[in-house]
Amino acid sequence: MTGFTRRETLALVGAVAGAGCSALPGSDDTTTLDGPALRSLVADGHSTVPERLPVTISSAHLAATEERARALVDAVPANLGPDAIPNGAIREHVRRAREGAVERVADAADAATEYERLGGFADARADARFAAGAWRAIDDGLTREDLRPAATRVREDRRALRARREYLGADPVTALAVHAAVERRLDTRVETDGRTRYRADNPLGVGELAEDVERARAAVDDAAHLYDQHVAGLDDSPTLRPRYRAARSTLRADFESERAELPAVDGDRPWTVEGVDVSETPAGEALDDLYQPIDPEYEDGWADGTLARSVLWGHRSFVSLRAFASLRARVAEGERFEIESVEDVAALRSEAVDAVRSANADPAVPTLTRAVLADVVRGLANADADLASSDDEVRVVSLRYPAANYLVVAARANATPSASDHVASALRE
Amino acid sequence: MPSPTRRDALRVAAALLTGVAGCSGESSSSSSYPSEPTGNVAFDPESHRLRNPEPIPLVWTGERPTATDDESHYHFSGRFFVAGAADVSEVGFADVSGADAARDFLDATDYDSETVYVEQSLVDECFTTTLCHVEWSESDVQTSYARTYRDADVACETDARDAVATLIRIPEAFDPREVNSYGSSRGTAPCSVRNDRRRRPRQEDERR
Repeated sequence: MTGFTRRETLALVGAVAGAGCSALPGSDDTTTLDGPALRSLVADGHSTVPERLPVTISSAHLAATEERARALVDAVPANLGPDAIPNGAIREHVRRAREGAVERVADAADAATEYERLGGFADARADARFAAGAWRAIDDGLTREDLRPAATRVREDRRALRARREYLGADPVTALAVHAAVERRLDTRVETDGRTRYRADNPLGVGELAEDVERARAAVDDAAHLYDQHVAGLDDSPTLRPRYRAARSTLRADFESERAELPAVDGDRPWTVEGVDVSETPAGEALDDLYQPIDPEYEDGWADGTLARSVLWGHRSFVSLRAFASLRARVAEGERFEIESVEDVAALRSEAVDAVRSANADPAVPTLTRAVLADVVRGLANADADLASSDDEVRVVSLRYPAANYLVVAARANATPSASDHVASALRE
Repeated sequence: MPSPTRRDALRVAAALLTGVAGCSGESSSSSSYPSEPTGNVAFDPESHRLRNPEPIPLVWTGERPTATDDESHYHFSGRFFVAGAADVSEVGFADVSGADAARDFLDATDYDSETVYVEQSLVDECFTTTLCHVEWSESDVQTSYARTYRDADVACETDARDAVATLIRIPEAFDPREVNSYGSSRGTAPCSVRNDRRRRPRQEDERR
């Protein structure tokens, strides 16, 4: 559908509903809560869990990618007018792309960790190269054909990295995150002859390919750097490939037997718990959300993708399974999580914030745990954003989604350390 | 009445997001009628295009349309058929570039085996539309257009719209009085892709 995740989509609906401009079908609950009190719940923000990677990113590499991003932005005039690009729609498109790149560069420079800065500059470079490529097509006659050699070089470099890469590491858990980060970057492709978003001879079509080349260039260069930094500190370590394969098999078997222990779940109605239908409550929404990744109909990540990432998929599957099981058990015991007051919302949020804080402090397997938490806190941020945009009076029905998000965050965060332990044990067997 | 479930919300979200995508120009597609294959189709049919920077009616049948309360607000949903010499004599053109050739196009049509369908609309000034195919049945006519940016050196603004009329030669003579359903879709995919989708809708469904 779009690039939105399921949770982001729900957050969007929540935000729109919260803004009072959406009529979700069938809502007739007119009970309202005090908007300013809801806004004050999130006024102080919450702790974040920035993405980290257990590898040292050199300052020279970071400086080079930042410099590249800024140079690409600077290659496009800041004030494009009709003299520069007569076609107003193309002018607007290039102008917006440049503005977006400027914001991304600023965000990347302010990011909390070196790893987030690396990813931020890679994204900024792709955006900036779109604008720069389109502008060069207009100003200097750049064509897609001119970009082919650069596309070929990046493919060759990717192939060379694939050929020399091996799953090396002193510790299989620590190395897993690095190898998954490398794998993800090696997936970036450049399509020089495939279907294009824009007509190929349009300047925007040139910008599109320039963007793809830049994204792949940054991905391959960053992957090579991460890999080289990772292996530079290693003595003669054997390949972890057989260990990762064995761990994946073990984890999958463990996951399936643990899932089989769940009380029977109707995949079409995961919000029905022992005959009780909680579908119109935050718990029902949260159960629905948590069930999706463990639904036997959708579990391709075990086999799809590359080795390190499939083990991480297993980790997240355990997190979702245990989160679903624990929330389901609480519902079965009679908890309903219904929203009747601002205090109810505050309690759900506190539980989520505390769960993230507690999991983040868990010393057992921080590399695995924090990788999941970095995603989990996005749900917290989305729910907080919903509350922050509250009108003066907020219908309780529109709070169902942020409340569900808090429940999901708490359940996932609570489930993460034990899932990390399980995965780490399988990897170190 | 029950309040919405999460799945209801996702459906609403999908609709909302479709709406959002529809606002974004290059990634948009629009359709004034849900497109279902009607049986007959002509890919890249013979056609003639009139385009004018003023949003005025470019072609009409019978009396020339007049502005209503505001000179700039004409009805642009205008569409009609030309099915014979008598119809041709009723057609009028604005004094715009290409009008003579458009009349020649009507005159050169063999109405024993062909029908001309005229479709008129407003198009964003910085974009152009290309006719990809036309579908028709006894009661229904649908057109499909690819929408692309005009060249970078075409001076235009994002808030301006041009009038565009397309005269389409349908390779069949039929009685247009039976037609009561009209549709037109536009998207950013090129005609080769749009036509391919129309040729193989079944395979397209299977890939989803």
